[in-house]
Amino acid sequence: MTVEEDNDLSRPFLGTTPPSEPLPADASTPDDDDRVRPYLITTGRTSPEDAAVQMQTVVVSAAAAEVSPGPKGTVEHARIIELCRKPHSVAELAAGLRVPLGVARVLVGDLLGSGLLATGPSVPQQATDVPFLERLIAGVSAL
Amino acid sequence: MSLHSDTTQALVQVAPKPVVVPPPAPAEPEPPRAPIPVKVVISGGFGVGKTTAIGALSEIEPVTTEAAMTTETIDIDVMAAGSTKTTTTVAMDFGRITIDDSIVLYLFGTPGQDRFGFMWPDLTAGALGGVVLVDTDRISDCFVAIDYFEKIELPFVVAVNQFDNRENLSLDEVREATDVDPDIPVITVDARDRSAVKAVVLRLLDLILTRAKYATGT
Repeated sequence: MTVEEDNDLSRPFLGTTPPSEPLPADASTPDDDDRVRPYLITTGRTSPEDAAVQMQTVVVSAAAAEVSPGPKGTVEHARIIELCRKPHSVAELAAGLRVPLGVARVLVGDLLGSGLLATGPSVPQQATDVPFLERLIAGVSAL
Repeated sequence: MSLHSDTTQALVQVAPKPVVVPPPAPAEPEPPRAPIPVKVVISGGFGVGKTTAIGALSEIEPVTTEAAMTTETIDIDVMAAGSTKTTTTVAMDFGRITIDDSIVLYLFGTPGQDRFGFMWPDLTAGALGGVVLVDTDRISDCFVAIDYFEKIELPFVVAVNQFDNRENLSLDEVREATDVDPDIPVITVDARDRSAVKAVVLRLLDLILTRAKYATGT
């Protein structure tokens, strides 16, 4: 894999416009799943509907997600719901789906919006929450 | 009659049995709750040991979300003498540490090179604190990270990675060179050593706790 290909794969995450030139004909590989352009998976969107979806955001499948990802659901949506039977961060989902972080953020945003994923309790001001910090310190000390 | 009486006596003398609560009927299994993520950013120059440090503490192998650079970029990224590194992080990698049943600590490594600086807003969004790893052979490599953390007022510690077979600068020299605020810890670390990396994270958390107590007047 060349450096140019790496850059192509990561481009939507990098925030630039999609490349206008098609892939060279010899770029196809036996593992074609890896060749889907990231902006196709997100239908061109580069940021999630909910800006609060960050790489460390942890999500888990809601009970309703047992059914299906819905009529607009894609293969990737279904895979995320499957993985999220156990809690996963967006970064872990990106790694699991082998998509750039930006793509995972958009897809997780979709599923949060439709109620198929849920986030946990939030501690918005971790840095000034003394009891939370003390709990964290105790936990790290015990590692 | 006497048998009945004996029985009554025996019943009286028996210690009262604890009330047995029947176990609750197995309810619908609760869907697991998502834990609270805590984000710490590990930063520093190229080849300074960020991925090593993350791997030392993480319960999973450090995961890279994108691809890895190959030796083809060695001409671009000049490493310190003695380094044998042949790949580096293109995007970012991370590790996970379960703290308890509702807190998970994520360590995110920033890309080592200045040219990936545009990623920093996303990398630091929602972060609790940062660690700046320093290679004293190339101390200026860490200035970008320190500048950024100071600009966004993210608490951080400066951790000087101790490389074998090198003459490392003293901590005083590093503090002077980086010119960080007096309350910012400048400490040594062996990025390969789990307890050393854990100590760095604890120093960071202590700094944040101290500031939190000061801010809340406790």
